[in-house]
Amino acid sequence: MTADSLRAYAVSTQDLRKACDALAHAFEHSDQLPEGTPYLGQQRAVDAIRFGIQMQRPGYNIYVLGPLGSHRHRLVEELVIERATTEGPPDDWCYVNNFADPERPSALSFPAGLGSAFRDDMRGLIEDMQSAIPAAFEGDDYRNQLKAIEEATQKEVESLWKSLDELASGEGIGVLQTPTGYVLAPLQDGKVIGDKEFDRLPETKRKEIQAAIQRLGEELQTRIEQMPKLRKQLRERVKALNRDVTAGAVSVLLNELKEKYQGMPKVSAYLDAAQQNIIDNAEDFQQPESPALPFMRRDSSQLLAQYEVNLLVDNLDKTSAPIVFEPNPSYPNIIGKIEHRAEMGALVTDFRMVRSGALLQANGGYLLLNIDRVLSRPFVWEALKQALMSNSVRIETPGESWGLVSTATLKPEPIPFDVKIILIGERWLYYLLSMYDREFDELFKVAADLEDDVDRSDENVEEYGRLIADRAKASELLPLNAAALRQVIEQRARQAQDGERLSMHMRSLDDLLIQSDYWARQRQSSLIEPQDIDEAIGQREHRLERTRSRIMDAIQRDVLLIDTSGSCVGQVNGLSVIDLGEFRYGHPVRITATTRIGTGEVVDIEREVELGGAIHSKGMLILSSALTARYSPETPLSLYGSVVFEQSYGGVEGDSASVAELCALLSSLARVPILQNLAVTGSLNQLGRVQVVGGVNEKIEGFFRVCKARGLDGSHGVIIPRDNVKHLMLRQEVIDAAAAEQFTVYAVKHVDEALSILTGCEAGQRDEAGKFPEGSVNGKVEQQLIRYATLRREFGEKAGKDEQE
Amino acid sequence: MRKREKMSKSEDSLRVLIAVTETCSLTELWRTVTQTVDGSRAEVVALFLHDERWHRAASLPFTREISRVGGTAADFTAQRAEQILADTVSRLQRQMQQLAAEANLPVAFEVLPESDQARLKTVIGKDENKCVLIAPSVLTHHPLLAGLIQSNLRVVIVE
Repeated sequence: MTADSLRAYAVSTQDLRKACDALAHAFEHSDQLPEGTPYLGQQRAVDAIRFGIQMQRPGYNIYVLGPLGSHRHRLVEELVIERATTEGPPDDWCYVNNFADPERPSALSFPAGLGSAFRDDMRGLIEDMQSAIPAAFEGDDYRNQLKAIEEATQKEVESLWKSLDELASGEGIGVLQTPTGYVLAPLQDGKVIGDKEFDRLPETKRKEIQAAIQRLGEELQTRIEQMPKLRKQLRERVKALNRDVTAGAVSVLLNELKEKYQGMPKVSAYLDAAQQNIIDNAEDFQQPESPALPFMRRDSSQLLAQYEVNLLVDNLDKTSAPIVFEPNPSYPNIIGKIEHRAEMGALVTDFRMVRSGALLQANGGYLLLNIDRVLSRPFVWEALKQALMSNSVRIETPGESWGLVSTATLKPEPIPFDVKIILIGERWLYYLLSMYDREFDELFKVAADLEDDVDRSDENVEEYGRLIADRAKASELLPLNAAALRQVIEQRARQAQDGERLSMHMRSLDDLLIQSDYWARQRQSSLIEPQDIDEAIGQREHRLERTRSRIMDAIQRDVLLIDTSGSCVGQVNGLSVIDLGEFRYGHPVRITATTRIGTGEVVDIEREVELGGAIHSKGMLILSSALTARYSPETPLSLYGSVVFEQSYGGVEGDSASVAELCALLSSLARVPILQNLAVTGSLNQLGRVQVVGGVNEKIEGFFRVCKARGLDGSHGVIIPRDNVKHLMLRQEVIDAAAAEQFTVYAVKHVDEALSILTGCEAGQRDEAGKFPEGSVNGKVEQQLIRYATLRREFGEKAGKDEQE
Repeated sequence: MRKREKMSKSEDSLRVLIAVTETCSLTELWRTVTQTVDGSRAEVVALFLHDERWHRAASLPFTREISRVGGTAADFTAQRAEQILADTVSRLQRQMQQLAAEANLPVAFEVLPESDQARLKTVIGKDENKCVLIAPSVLTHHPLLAGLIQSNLRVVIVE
């Protein structure tokens, strides 16, 4: 291959890095730039979010798809605030005692701010009741009425006994009291007679006495049986009196509240129920002087607690719809919980211990959640969907909602729920949920997909410059001078792995600016200049490059075998990228191929030992197919080839080495050596077309770093797919080396071009007769395959004869 | 101070007699005792006036006790009368000792049959002026106390 024809594939230095020269606005530093347009490049996502938050229909909740660090939260918050401020605060929510069924507390709603007023009103009522009701019972009116009732009953009792006494004394019988009852005994001269006196009485008299005692005994029993009825009658009269007195005391207190809340039917009904409950339990408000046992003393605070108000959601201080972000979306934090307190060894609860979660705090507004955290907290996702589907929040323990707990506990009335839920998370989670959760699409109808990058048009570059200036101002950083700003923009194109696009990963932009600011301040500068950007990038790499330096060290010490000079049959320098999350780098890897006569197999050793990923295996199969289609369309492929990444002990994934692998195989077949001062990357289709790969900048720089360490001599270079040229955003040192003709980046469209550059020989094209030129690489490959086929046929025939013999 | 020292002598202490029966409540009576004593030194003697009518009634073979609670009737024998007496004396004695201990007053307990006037005189002692009898109103006409109420002895009747 001639130098001229080789030069035709070389990428010009201008194309190695697309410089930023679009910032037309004249400025000295970034503070002079006007404020940028908000949401640069995210219009689709912004429109989706606005649509979602304005759409007042069921299921129009939002999933914001975007990577961590894209400032997706900030974007969502800004848009939600923009909307929420146009909406008034929603209702307050309270739980109150359900007097008919205390295990099912009732929910009451109030216009914003009135919930706390109601709570305070009820507290006032309780305080008033504490004094008003006992006072009513201590008043003369009550005492006089009570006394009258007791006296009336006493009179009835006395009347019964008096009539018995009269009856008995008329018969000469005395009624004696014992500690436990009554004894009827005959009297003589007013004294009880004993057995001797009795025996002296005449027979008839004795019989009369016994008959009288028998009769009076029955009378006595009748009266005794009337006693419980009289006691019950007394109790009922006292109870009725207590009710009247309590009703009088309470209605004065409650009427004012009823009037205040008369426009709220449910609240009015609650006040009626509370009033009735107080009246029904009037005796409870009278503290007994001394209980039978100390622990039986009724705590008046407990008695009055049933009229308290548990204010779950208080929007008193709010002027707009609530926006809630729950960073820890555990079940209690989202749904709410029912707390318990220990009481005499048992856990007890009541309506006052029901606590709201984020769903209720956001009710009538917006709830922002990280979907990865929602999914990683037990029971939360199902509970969230349940709330959305039922449009209500039912506060219960997860065990109860799953039917795992049978202990009696509270079942608070579900609270109507109207919240726009905005889930924020990675794309893959969205697609997983969409695929595997049938309810997901029904409940989250709006997908807001954030762009990872924007087109590097002149207009966008101008806007991006303003965005950088805005972010520097927002973080109170030093302003950037024009050159530094351009350099940041170029760096953002590199971050996007595309010279024609700009990364929208905002966290990495902020990190670059903040770290550049640090280095600028270190040198007492009032501006961030290009050297500070370089320093920030270099220092960051230095902090992260431990594994890269170990690989470089291994290559330099010939532990990891990479040749950068000479040539070798069946051996090529491939390029691989290591992605450590925050840091990506490339390095060369030796790929070797061996060939011999066989049955048409091309073995991927990585796959055989299960170190190759699916995409890598696909690349190998495409390679195998391309080989057959090109060189052996009409004869059986009688080849056994094997390809391996030498000294690779981890997994291999991706198809970006398929061009290199094919070239190694062809070199082995044709016995044509491959130049080791070159490396190649590119994926292959079945027709031999070289297709784009990822990480092209890192790959080129990886090989450049090795060659530079060994000494650049002008022969070194990397072959990349032609379609990857637009992605080039190489470092300045590579560009400088290219400008000095010390290092070359070649761009190819077809594997033949790569083969020609790598071998220094023409690959060769089929002529009109369908033959590759003799002596060309392809010609040698074809010849070798024909030879293998012939040999295989001969072997086959010989083996057939041997079997027949 | 001097007066208190004088009052501390035993011969100057008040003698409080409480008349009780099987059916009366001690609570009201004891309240009157503490009001009467009012912190001064005193000795308390509980006089349990035994109702002998029970025993006479119990000697009759047909006597039955009708329960105050349910109206059921059961034989009222001499044994039952003795048991009631013993239980009542024991209960009242215990209550009295407890109340006296709380009030830090010495207490004695005497069981008097309703006909034993001589024993009653002995308990009252010579100096009637330093003796107070506290009795429930139901005992106003009790044969043992009727005479005392008419005498110079200071008597407090508790309703």
